[in-house]
Amino acid sequence: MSRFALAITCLLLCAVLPPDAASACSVCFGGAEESRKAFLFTTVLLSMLPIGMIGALAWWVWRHARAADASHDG
Amino acid sequence: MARSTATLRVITDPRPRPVLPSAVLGMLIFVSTEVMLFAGLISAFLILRATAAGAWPPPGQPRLPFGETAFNTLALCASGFMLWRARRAFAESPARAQRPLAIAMALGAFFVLFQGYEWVMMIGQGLTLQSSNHGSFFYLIVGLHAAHVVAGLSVLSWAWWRLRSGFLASSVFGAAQVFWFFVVGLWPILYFLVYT
Repeated sequence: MSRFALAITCLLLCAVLPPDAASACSVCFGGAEESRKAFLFTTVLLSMLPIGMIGALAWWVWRHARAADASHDG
Repeated sequence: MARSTATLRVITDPRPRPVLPSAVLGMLIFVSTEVMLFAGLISAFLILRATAAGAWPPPGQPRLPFGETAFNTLALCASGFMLWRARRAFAESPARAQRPLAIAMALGAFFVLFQGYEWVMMIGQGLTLQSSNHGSFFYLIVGLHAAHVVAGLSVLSWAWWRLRSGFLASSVFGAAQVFWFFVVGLWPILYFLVYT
């Protein structure tokens, strides 16, 4: 294994293995199950919402542009 | 005698018609930022509620009037329905949209007034901004939504006035509708999250 591959593997392991330490964060309230669920849900909500909104708008514009092109050609 | 022939040239606008009017697109972008603002507040509220020890609302704090607010929620949803009818009437004949638009505004105004009455009652029962986290989030989230309802009513009033004068462009009316549908659509989510 080359040095570069070894370094990448070590970095990946470092990123994957210690996530439990994140619950020691001062805002995680001791890693209680309820709060962990709330953090997970709100993280997903806040991450997906902008992507969903932009995606929905882009899809809507694309669909209408295609319909306008079709009516123009036909 | 020489005959002169004139060629008729029809000049058309080479630019394609926009898929989405600029006013509506601008309002959609603005509403997207508003969605993120409320999503942030809802997230903070959910985390606070999940980490609160014991029952919610906290001991000593009054329960929110779920039943009475359900009636108010119906009024706001009816307002959204009347705006949808105004939109359909506008497509047929702009003058016919006046009545449903006025009813939509009246229902929106009722919602705000009823909520003001509810706030007076809650303050009387001891729920204030400083009384607990419950009170703080209630007045922050519901108050911010009420401010949006008031702003939406102002926009609809302006649209109604323009409609009466015969100067309301469909793109501007479309932008006003986007904002009001956002305000109406957001409320049931807030209602079930905050009042239960």
